[in-house]
Amino acid sequence: MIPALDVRNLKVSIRTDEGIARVLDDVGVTLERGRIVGVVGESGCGKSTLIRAVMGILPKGANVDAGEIWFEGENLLAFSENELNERVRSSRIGFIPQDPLLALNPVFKVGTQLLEVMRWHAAGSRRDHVARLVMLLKRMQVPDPETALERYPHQFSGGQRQRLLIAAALACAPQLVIADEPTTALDVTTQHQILLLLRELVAEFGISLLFVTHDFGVVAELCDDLCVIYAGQTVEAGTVESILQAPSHPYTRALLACHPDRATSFVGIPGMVPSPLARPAGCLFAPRCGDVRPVCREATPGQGRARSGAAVRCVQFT
Amino acid sequence: MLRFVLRRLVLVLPSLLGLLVVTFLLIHAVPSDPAVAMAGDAGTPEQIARLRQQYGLDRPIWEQFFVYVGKVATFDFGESVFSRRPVATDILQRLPATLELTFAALALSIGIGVPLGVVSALRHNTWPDYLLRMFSVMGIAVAAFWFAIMLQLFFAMDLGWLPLRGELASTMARPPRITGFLGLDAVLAGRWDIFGDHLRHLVLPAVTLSLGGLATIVRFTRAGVLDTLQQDFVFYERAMGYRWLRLVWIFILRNSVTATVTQIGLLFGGLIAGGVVVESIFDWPGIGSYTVQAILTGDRQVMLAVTLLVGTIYAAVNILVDVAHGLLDPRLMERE
Amino acid sequence: MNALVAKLARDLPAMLGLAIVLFVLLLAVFGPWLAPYPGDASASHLLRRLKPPTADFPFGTDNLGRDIFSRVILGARGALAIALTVVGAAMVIGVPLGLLAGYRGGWLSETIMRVTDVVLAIPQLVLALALAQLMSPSLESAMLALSLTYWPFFTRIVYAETRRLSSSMFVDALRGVGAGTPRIVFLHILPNALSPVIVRATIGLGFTILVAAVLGFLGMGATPPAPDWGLAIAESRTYLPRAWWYATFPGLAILITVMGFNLLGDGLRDIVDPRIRRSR
Repeated sequence: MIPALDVRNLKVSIRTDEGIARVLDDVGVTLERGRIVGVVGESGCGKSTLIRAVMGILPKGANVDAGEIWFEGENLLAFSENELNERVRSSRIGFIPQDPLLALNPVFKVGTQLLEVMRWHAAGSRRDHVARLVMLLKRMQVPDPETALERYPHQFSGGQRQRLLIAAALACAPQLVIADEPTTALDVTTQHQILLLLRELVAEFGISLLFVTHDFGVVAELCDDLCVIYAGQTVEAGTVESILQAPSHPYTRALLACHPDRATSFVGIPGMVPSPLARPAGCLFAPRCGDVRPVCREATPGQGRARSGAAVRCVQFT
Repeated sequence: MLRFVLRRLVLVLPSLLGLLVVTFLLIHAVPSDPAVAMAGDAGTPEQIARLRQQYGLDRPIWEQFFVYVGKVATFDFGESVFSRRPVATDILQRLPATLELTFAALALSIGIGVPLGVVSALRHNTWPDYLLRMFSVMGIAVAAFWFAIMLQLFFAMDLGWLPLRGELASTMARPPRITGFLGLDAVLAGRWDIFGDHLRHLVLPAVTLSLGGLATIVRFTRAGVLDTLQQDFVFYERAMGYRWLRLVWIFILRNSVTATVTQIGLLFGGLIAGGVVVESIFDWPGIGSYTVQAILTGDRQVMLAVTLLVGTIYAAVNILVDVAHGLLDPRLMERE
Repeated sequence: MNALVAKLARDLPAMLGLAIVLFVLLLAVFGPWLAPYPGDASASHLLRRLKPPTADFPFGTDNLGRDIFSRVILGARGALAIALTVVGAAMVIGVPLGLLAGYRGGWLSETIMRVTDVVLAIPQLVLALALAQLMSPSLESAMLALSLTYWPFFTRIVYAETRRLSSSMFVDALRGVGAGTPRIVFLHILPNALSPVIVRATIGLGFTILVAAVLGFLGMGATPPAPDWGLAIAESRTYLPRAWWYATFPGLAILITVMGFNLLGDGLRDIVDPRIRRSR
């Protein structure tokens, strides 16, 4: 089965005042059809850049140095801006942003904004679009769906806004949806509701979901597959079940050990993530790794396979 | 919305009152006889005596103020020493010409300034941007009267493309006065030749007047758009596949123009002030040239009336600016 | 402090503005020694009237045969003198009023700020013209009128700063220690409020030169035979289009001078208050 989205060996660097930042240094993510993959990493690991690369909205001074992004048999990186806008965004790849308040244009009605998207990416008349939006809003349990479109973003609560945005992402019936930490800005109860909702929608609408987050708890609750990113590299990838049961990469293990649900004391991982401006030679996690060996500092470890079936970037498994 | 406007109106009343007080004091601040002051340099003894009686200058100052306010409320601004007609009549007759010029200049400033500001922001730190910024700086440093003369020199005298002064060629007859706006009256009378000639006369004065505003609007629009481009919703709208042109000119623009709208309001004061000079240079028969005439002939009644008028217009414009802000950003209305 | 100066030095337009301002200052102070025909401030040479620009007379001569190049240089003194006087007087009036209104509060503060609002409600030029006309038209009354229209800008700035500072912790601490009001106001609040005042003053200098030129043009300011830039342009009108140089060069002088003050003022504003988003 061809994956819904297949990011391979992606390298992205950004030219800054202080030098060249290697933000993504060989990232691979595979999203199988109808499944939910969680992309996990600390802040600064390159998650946002990954999303931007897929959507084709990299910042000024950014350059894709290597890799491909396979989507429905085509390499998205080869698309021009116009092609992306006309054929991909919203119509085939939907997007759920992180902060629902900041994502919406404050001076336009919600309906105006959502209909603008549908105008260019969905078939049918305006009346059809309105009907579909109202239907989606009902499904998202947004109160008063008929009048909701006439209101402004600041007139909704945080949770309602996020539901609006989920409805927007699904409005043009894409097969793939990318969610950028959509629950980070919400309180825990609302977060849980949204995650439940997403699970139902994936099954109901038959979409594949790429869910970026820094929270393992969310991953455990929602995702089928998992991809762990450290300092711009994929370090471990496999099913959630197998990795959570038997994490292989030292970083994954350390992350899980820190998680409030599992940690017995207040631990962290000693050391800091290497700056994208100055990546060390060899394995990027070596300076902080408990299992480090001399060979780790010399060469970047290749892709190996753990007993759990997960792909791991660690010399212990090659 | 209505409540919003009413609140603004109420808030502006003290300023208007203050304006009345100030103009009143201006008459009485002069150590000499106020009646003489009002009559001005060209006043005759009969006029002075009449003024003294009209304004009750033998009565206590409080009463005089109320008399004054009463007169203003009935639009009685006295008589122009120069034209020997009621000032109110003169003003009413000349106001349309000034309004035509002011709005033409405003249209130019906004119509050209906003797009240039947007382009400047989108191409920021490239050479078109640098050029526009340099132009902005120069635009507000230029003396309007000098610029007017340079334009006259070049376009009217040297090239002969455009007329030198006036509202209409002296060979053309004015159309019947319906609205008082020459252009409108010409159209209403079906005289497109008069309209065309009038438009030609409008060009140089309007361009002169629009320069300072143009520079300011470019500057503030640029800043506003740059600010907006930083915001998250721009990224979101791009990710959702908004068409770029619509994204910029509809969805980003509305967020960017708050500061510009404020500046447009302030600009109005500048346009009125600038109009004084521009009208006198181009012999444009509006309030501005009326004011200059009043200065040169020492016609104090006119000066005071104009000051009052200008202050009031300015206050009205500020209210409109507030309303515009409210329309642009619905969040502001909520806070009321 | 040094960091601020360094930051200003890196701002190219601001440095250009500074250069222009210093240049104009130079002309103002040393004008009579720099101008090739200093006597042309008042003398007339009818034999060489209205000559176009040549090597001898780079800006040409005016209707009385006077060298325009020299008169432009000499005009810098008048322009700067007017500007400094007006802005200085406006500061002398406006700053103390702002301090008073900001520190004391109460009805006095309200009154001062209402008056400020009213004066600001009338466009400056119109008010200046009205005032100047009430007094006899002369340079002095023009300057007085301009000062009387400009002080509110300073009052507003100082008022805002004073209010902000007087409710801050360090003023409470000073009061707790027993510092008297004058001491607090002059030694502590005023220095802090000074930066935006200086920015406003710089821009005000440029603006005043413009308005003073307008008044000169209208005959409400300098009188002949003063080498005033605005006056020169007014005089030049009857000789256009033939003597194009007569109107052009004094106007360029105004443009460059005002531009210099504006650029410098903008640069100062950037280093004083980076909070405010500038159009940089």
